[in-house]
Amino acid sequence: MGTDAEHPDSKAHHLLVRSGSHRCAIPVNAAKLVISAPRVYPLHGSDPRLLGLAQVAGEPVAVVDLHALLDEEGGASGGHGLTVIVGQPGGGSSLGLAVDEAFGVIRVANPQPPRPDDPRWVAGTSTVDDRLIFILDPEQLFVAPRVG
Amino acid sequence: MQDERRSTILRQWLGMAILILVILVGGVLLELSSDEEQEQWYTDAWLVLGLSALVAHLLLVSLPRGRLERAHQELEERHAVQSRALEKSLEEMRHGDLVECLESIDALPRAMNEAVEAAAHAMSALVQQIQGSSVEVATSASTVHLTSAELVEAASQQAAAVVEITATTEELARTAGQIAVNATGQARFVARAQEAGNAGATALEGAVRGVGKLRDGIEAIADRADVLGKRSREIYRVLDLITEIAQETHILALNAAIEASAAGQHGDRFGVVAEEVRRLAERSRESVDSVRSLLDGFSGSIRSVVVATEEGSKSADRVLEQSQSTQEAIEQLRSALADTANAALEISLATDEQRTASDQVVLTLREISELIQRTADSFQQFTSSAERLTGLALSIQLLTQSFRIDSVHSLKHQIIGLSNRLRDSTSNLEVIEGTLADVVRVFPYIELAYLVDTTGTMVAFEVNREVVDDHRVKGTVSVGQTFADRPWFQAVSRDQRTAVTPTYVSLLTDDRCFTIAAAVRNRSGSMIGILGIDINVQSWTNI
Repeated sequence: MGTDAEHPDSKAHHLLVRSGSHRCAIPVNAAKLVISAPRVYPLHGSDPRLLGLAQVAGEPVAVVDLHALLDEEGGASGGHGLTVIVGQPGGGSSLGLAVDEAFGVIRVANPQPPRPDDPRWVAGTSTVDDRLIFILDPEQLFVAPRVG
Repeated sequence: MQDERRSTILRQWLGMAILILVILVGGVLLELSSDEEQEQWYTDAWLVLGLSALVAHLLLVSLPRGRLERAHQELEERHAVQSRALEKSLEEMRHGDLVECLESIDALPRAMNEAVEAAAHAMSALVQQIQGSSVEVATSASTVHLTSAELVEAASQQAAAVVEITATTEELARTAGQIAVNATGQARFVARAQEAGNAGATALEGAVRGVGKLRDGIEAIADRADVLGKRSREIYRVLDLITEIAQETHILALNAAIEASAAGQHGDRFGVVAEEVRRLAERSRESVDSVRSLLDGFSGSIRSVVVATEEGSKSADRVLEQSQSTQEAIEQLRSALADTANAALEISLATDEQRTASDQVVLTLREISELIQRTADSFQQFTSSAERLTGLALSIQLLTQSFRIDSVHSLKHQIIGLSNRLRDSTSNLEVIEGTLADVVRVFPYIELAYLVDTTGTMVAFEVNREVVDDHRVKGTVSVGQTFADRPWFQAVSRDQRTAVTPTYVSLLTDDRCFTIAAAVRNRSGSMIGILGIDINVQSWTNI
């Protein structure tokens, strides 16, 4: 949230991705890089939403299934053609979100507050082309594994 | 005869009286015409001579004549007895009773007795011989009749069989003709089939060559398709590469857009370029997908072509193989057709010969049929002649039965013997019925034996159950029934002799029969009844 204060325009820009049946908008100030799905090494005994560890630019990055994050009951989407590297605000650690597809950078208009039963890393919802999109809160993404 | 004898005696005494008168008249005249002495001597001499003549006449003429007259009378009486005996014998003989005619011949002279007896025996032998001959003739005629009837039947069956054989042979001839026609037609068809087979073989050879070329073409197509498949795979690799490049470009564009967004207002223009690059990458990817889709279809078509060419090649091989087999089959068919044509020709010739032979057989069979018909007619005439001969033999037999001879085959003799058995028993019904039963039992050819009184009323009768059915007896014959109108009764009553009737149809059996009837007499010779027996001709002639 802190980055939004530095770049008011970038606050409304989001990277629109799709993971399974869900569409999500990731703030571009948190999205550091989009790469093809790297080789992921699963971690035994870890959270099921954590796909494993991948090596990105020489650094180990945890890769999380975005679809599993948005729909805990629905499980993994299974596609994962791309991985969006999300950086912790303030230049902290990075996290890989495994997505199926990335559509580009969009402006999210008229964001709505999250619904009561939405996960905590959903900052709100909006619609693009009459389709519901979840607006992610990257900070919550970094605490979610530890909380869960 | 008596008058003549009296006249003779009268003439005899009249002669003696005239002689005495002549002597006396002569003596008187001598006495009157001569002298005393001489007259006396003359007169005495005349009287002596006259007396001597009278004595001599008496001794030499009258006395022998008396003896002769007595002897003549005795002779006449014996002659009368013999004449009556002979007359009676001849009368019996005239009525055919060759037994009774011998009963009265004892009074006849020995030679005549022997002659009559010999004549009767000769006639009896003749009658027996005629009877035997007639029986043999009847038997032979019956045999001939049966045989000829069987021959007529056999000839009729034979004629029917020949007619049937003729019809069958005619049908055979017609069938043979039809077979010949069919065989000729078959030969023509076979010739056409041979021509068609030749054309088919030629066409098949062309087809085989065409199939070979087709297979070569299919193989060439398969080679081209294989090349296209290889090219398609290369295109796939290029498309994969393009897709990969487009994906990388897409990612780069995304990252550039992210960076442009992060750059704020300074990155807007870069962001637009990045977005365009991303869109280009997306369009490239969509184009690649479209090309891939088209290529998928193309590859599928190529695979289908390959599969089709492989199948076509296999089909061509099979067609070629089948065509070669068909070619061999056609060759075999042509050979078989040639054999069939030859066989059909031979069949046609053979059936022509068969038809000709059958026609000849039919002509022969018709001649045989006519011959059999003529033979049957002859046998029919033969049968009629045999029937007439049987009737004639029966007539002869009946004629011989009009004679009574001392033989068991003489029905007259048998019935007279039976009538004699009833002589003293006409008042005893039990004896009569017993006698009649014996008659029926002893003579099985008798249908009915019966006794009627002198008025023609039935006293008793006995039916032969072996010949007559019981239900035919009722209403036909019964005790108390009158038979006075029957010819046999009238004949016996009129002639007092045994009678034999002509044959007639029996009411009891519907067979031919005849009746023999004889008078039954008491001890005094008076007729007290008539015994009759009805003879069944069939049974009688069989016996």
